[in-house]
Amino acid sequence: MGENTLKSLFDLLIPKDKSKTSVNDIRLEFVRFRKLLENSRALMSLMEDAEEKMRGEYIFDRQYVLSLIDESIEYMSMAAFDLSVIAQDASEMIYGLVDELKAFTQTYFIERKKDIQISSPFIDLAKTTSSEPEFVFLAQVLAWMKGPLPNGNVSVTEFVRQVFDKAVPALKKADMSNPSIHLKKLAHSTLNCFHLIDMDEAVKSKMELSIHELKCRPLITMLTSNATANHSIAQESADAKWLALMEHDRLSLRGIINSRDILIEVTQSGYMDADFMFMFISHPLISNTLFPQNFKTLMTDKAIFGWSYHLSDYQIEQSLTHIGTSLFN
Amino acid sequence: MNEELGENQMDKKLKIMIIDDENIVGKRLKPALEKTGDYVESFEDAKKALERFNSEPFDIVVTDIRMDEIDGLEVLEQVLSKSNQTKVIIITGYATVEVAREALAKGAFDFIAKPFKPSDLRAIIDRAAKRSAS
Repeated sequence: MGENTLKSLFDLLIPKDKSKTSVNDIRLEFVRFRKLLENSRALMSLMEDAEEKMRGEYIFDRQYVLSLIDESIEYMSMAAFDLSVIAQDASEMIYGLVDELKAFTQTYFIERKKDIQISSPFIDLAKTTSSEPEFVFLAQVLAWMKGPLPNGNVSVTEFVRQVFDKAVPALKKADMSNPSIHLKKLAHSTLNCFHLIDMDEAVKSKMELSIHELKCRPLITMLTSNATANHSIAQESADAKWLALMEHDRLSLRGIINSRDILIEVTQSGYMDADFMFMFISHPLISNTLFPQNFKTLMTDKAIFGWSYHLSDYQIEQSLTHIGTSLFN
Repeated sequence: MNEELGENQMDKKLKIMIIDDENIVGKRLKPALEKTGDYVESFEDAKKALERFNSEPFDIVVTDIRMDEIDGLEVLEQVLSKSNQTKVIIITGYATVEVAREALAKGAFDFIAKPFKPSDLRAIIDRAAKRSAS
């Protein structure tokens, strides 16, 4: 099925009227954003894999390089679909970008795969000390993945930047004024605009919860951190509106601080392969000290976002304490 | 006693044949495997490799599964029909798990997926040599 057909079908299935938000919409969005994170992570992993192969310890062939291109396109197509669910307005732009990236790989990689040499637009970009065609090929594909590319060509990294710049601002925030949501309020002296949705609980029994009644581990850690606070951030964030989507080991915390979006996504299951943290903050950045030290970060036109994967339970606790102290203490 | 015999046989230098139509594989594997003193020949053309094997058997044959004229499965069959003492190790590419399974069923010693480190292949070769010796 072509992407345009898929998109038309998608437009038919998803109604345009977004005025009424339900808990199911929020669940759908929660799951889809997690998928978007998975697909973006897969793209980053492909890049890391390619960088590892460039170091020369591995035996690889052209087929490996071609499979990197195929997999990148596949993950970008899936990420485009995820974004279309979260931000329908971005659908046309992002599918256009995927088409552009596909066309680029066709022209510069697929059609040249039998006669590999460093050529435009990679002359100053592809870094390799080996003259083996496989290394030259991989160096060019890696340059396409990492970017930036000349002449307005879009790299895979730039694609990821644009996806998050569109996706995060489109996520539902705490200022929803819809009675069907049944938001719970967090009873906390300094966090009077903190709303909660318990994703594990179908029936909403209480409308107000104390911190001690929370079951979401990552949120509890953030709110009960007692290290010394960075008062400038804490003061600013005191006026923030927060929405926390909670499961026992997963948290999506979305905030608006002085019209800036802030998003923190965490899975803290105790399984290192599954656990991760992701954080997105719109410009102007409140403080770059908000990102824990083990985070990799990427700057976009609108924001800075960072992530960290394969974390131990202790590392997650430390990172959450760091962020929680900065924001809420 | 058997263990002693095994260790003695392990000291013997191996004759290893590499078959892969991608030039880079033989070019990089050959020096890596020769480091331990083993004798290594590499071929891009499976037909020429089989002719060479027919004139003189090798202890280990490392062959890519997907090649143009003669594929790895055919190499496996021909090698084992000539010398059932030879251990054949299959190099697989991408999405070829089924073919690798078929190769194991047909008598391949093991398989390794690209991309791989020469040290990973060396570990398989050492196991194969140990198996031959026991």
